[in-house]
Amino acid sequence: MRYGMVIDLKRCIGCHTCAMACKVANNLPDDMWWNRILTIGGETMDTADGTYPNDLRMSFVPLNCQHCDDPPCAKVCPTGATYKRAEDGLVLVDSDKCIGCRMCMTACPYTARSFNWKEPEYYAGHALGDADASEHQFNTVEKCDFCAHRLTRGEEPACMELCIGRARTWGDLDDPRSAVNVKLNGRQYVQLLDEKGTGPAVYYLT
Amino acid sequence: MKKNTWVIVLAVLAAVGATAWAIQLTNGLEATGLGVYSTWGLYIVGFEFFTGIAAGSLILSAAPYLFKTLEDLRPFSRVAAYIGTVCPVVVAGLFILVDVGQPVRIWLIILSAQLTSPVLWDTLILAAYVVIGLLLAHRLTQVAHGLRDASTLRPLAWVAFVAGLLVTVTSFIFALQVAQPLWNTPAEPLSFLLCAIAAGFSFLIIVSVVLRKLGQVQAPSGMLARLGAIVAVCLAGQLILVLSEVAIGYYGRADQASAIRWLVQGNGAPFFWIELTCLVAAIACLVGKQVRYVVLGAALALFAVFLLKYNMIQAQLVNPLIGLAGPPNYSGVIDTIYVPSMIEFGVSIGAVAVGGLFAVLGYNRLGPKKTSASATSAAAG
Repeated sequence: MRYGMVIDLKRCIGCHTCAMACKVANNLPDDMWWNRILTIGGETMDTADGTYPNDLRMSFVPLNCQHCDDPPCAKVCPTGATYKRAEDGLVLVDSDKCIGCRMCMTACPYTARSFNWKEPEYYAGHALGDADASEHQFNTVEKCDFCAHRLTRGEEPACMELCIGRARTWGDLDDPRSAVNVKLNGRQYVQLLDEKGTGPAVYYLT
Repeated sequence: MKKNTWVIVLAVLAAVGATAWAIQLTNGLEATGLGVYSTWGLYIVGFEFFTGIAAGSLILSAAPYLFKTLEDLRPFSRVAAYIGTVCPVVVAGLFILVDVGQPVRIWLIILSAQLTSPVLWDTLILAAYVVIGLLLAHRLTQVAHGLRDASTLRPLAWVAFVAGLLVTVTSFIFALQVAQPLWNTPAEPLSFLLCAIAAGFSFLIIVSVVLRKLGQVQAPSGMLARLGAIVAVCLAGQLILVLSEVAIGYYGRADQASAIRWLVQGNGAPFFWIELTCLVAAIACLVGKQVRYVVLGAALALFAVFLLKYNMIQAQLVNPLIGLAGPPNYSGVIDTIYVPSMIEFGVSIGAVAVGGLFAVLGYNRLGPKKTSASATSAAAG
């Protein structure tokens, strides 16, 4: 079994709701985003590229951990804090083993990893999300874990639920009848930086 | 007395570094100039730089006992083994210690070791450098006091020589990363070796001049010019690598093109052009035979190697493969250079000062001593 996600770029409207859902579900501290909606366009988020009025372009790429088949981050981790879970292919971080060397951050081609540069702080003064979300440790690295705590409860990742455009599909890549494989069937897709040999578990329909 | 002044100055600087580190540990790495993209900075540059000096020095301390043409450099081997190898490795190790977010867990590198991690390989190589450097200095002291024959040194000298060449493996921490195209090239291990020999030999040229001023070990005549020539050759090789990189960056749209263009004509340009100027100037000075030019060339070479490492790190990290704009902290578009914070400068000065303390305090134990009794006590250290 190998969990994966399909994201239909034609259905993504760049509303950032999935990023918010992720932030809340996982108690992400201030300034940290495990799931980010990148803008293909201008130099800042949510701005278009080109010239007004006829030549403007803007589209989006939701980016989170790609849960690679051969994760460069897990390979370089000196302590095994980052590892690939054999039973479902999730790439996870054991914060208690992370020494904070940030080797995995330089190893990740997707810049998908985040570091707790300071003691985690919250705008509300306390964490607001799921009680069983993973802990955020000072001076350690963390990232999207496909909402491992929600999977334990038999639920899907938080980013799946609130997507207005129903752009995301979730399931087992090894099962030919799973929702992800049905969705992929007959559609053109890309995998980000697949040429780097990482084997991402996130597919983007184009 | 003069030595005491040095010890006091270095101890004060080390205390400054310790204070800065304490601030960094309590506030988190937020106290540094690092961020989402610039995940590594001055500490890793310092680590590379001092590892290089150590490896180059290890090669220089061993080579005179392996190759006939270098035999006249033997009197300098002891200094190279201790001040050139052991002390810089201490500094390099400290740079890693201050760079990690959770230094209390650093032992997990060994206790929870992952064989696939280049961090483990580097840790083992650095540890080996300390052991080999100390052992070599100890044996060389025994030889100097007539307690041991020079010919018995050959096995250890071979080990030291090969260990020095293994600086190529320390480059794997960078060279194996598919995410960083500027580093992900077979030229990286070669560059590390060239930089190590250049930095190690330059460092020893300067150390030998200082020691001569202090009336200590006299460097063999003509040694400086010969070392200088070797440094010049290594820098010339490095210059070819740098210029080839520029050619690759400008010929097409290779993965590393954005990083290279950022260096040559973007925000990184001042760094790059100073680096290039220093490289060329160092080569020009080092081919001169006069001692003062060689010393100036050695200083320029050290600065050039430092800038080379600095630019390699920042040029790549601020030009990630996916540079699209995202939420504020993940803006993608990088319009600044990496500048270390005052805390990083303080910690770095402290780390170097600790290395200096090791050099000053340890040197006397290597110094010329007459009786075999004191030689034994020196060996015990």
